[in-house]
Amino acid sequence: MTDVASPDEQVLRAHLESAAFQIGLADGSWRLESLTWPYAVITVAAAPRTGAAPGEFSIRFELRGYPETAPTGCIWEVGSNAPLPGPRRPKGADGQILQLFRDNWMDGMALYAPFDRVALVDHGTAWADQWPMSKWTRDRDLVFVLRHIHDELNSVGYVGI
Amino acid sequence: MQLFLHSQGSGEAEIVTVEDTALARTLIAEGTDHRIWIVEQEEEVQLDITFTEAGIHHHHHVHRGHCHRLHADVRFMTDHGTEHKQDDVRPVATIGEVLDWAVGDEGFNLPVDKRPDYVLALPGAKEYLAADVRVITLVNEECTVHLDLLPKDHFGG
Repeated sequence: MTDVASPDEQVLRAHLESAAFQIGLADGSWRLESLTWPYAVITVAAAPRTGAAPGEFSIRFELRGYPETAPTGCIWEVGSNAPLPGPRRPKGADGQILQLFRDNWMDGMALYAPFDRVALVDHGTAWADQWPMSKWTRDRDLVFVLRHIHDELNSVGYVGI
Repeated sequence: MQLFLHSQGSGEAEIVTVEDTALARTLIAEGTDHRIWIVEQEEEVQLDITFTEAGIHHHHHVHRGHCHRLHADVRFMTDHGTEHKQDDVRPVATIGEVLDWAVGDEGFNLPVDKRPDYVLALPGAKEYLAADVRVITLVNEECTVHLDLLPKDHFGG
């Protein structure tokens, strides 16, 4: 008997075929490392910087209930299949990148942003409503999250690790 | 091969599959005055040559519409009220290029250290426009797009 993908997985797979995701792939903004439901590991390009500054970072997304439920992401070390340790997480001059990838909240297992499920549950709707342009809604897709992450990693604020 | 097609007023890109030996005209609906442009050349692409001859390859970005210039009207709230500035850009222009102009010396001339904190959005939209969005997908029949220059979200505790 053939396994039939669950509705949430089917939606995610359709979104990975969208022009928006494929353009990011073709332009080198991100690439799909693996998809083992409900996890997808996606590597996002970062701007070149002098010194200790990786040119890319991976995020492991947990996508149960997608897109009715927001994804949650953890900055990830693909080789060891584990969260990236704090000292090797991206740092920024303006604090926004530090916040997004902070390791002193939820054990560093989620993205500190209103498009991340864990942050939404932890802080509540009123917190997320402060940023209507960035908060997750069911009509968003994973590209919305990837664009936010890519934008931060390619902003002038990104200084490396 | 697959192309990323950015059509006038479509709102977003689409993936189209064509033969590399097909004529560029393949992308133009009959009875329209549409043209196509690619970022590598200033002039529009000749329609009666093949994609290969035109230098269009797999995963190329192709821009389709009738506007030879696109007009961006950017609105910004300042201490003195709402101000507008206009710019004309090529059919292959991205939102990133318009943003650079809008925050820069020729636009609203924001302080250099503050420029990265701003983004563009369509009026009333629920999300910012990504830098790689093609302006041509946003313009109306008059080749104009209205945009708001807004401060970027900063998530606090």
